[in-house]
Amino acid sequence: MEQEQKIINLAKTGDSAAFSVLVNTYSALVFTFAYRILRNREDAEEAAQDTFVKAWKYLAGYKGDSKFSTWLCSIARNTSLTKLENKKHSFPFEEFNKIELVEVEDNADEKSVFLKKAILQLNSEEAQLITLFYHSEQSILEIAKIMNIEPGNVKVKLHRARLKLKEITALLINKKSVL
Amino acid sequence: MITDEYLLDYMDGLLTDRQRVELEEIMFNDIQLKCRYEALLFLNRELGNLGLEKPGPDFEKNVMKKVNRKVSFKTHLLTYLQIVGPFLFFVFIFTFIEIKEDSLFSLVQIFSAKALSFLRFGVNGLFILGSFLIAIYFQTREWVKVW
Repeated sequence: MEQEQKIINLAKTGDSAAFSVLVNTYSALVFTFAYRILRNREDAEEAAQDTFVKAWKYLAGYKGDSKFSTWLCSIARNTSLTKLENKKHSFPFEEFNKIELVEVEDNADEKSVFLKKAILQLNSEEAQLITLFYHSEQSILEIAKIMNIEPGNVKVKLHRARLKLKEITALLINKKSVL
Repeated sequence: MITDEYLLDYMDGLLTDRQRVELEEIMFNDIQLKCRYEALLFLNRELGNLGLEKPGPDFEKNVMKKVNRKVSFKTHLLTYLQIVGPFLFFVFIFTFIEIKEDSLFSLVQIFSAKALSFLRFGVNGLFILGSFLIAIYFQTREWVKVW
């Protein structure tokens, strides 16, 4: 944590090499978060890149009163939602739904494949909550800050998302065993 | 009736000590409830172990390219200001300081007062237009994604 703060301070002075360490550390998290919103690898990669460029631009505004990952996820969320909004406008609805049918890598183990597929069946908000809670290790309060909702609401929605995931995973496993 | 939500609260450590002990006692005697809890615990563990999606191999390189472009834009801007700064200063002086006929400058003898003021406006206009075009050039070349 202290080490990270030093790197952030260096990056704030304009040291792009220090910033590249932060990019390396958080690229997978930011990309996963964007992917769970946009459901398309290409768009998610673009949104994740834009997130880091914005982070670099506004790094001076990061005061350290929240975790760096919390701050970064807020930028990623806004960037991805704007991109999603633009996409909804530029694609007819049917086309947009087709894009959401994404593939999960074949080399992942079966349990991960089922879970990743199940997460993609959740709505965008639920998928974001799961990503923030499990991958980014954000507290309920931090998630509430990123998602702009009440902490109580985060808890309820997170419960709902996990129960939904349990059902979807069971369905996917049953479907596979029938086949 | 113990709900799944209550079990999730227990799993997340959100129950009070008393609620926790009570639930553990109930679970000890209720196999079905214990199974429900185990299923949720399994899901929780799997979600925790789920790897992150990885971006393309050039991701970091592409981000840093964009970031360095921004640095380079700042450098360009500084260089630009260093070059045009003194010029801007003289244009400013030339525009706002009155040149008297008996001064060292003989410009007034060459140009009439009207022609001189037209020239001042022309130089300033060209300077502003030039700066604007250069700024647009930088913006489209370097900062189109950032702005």
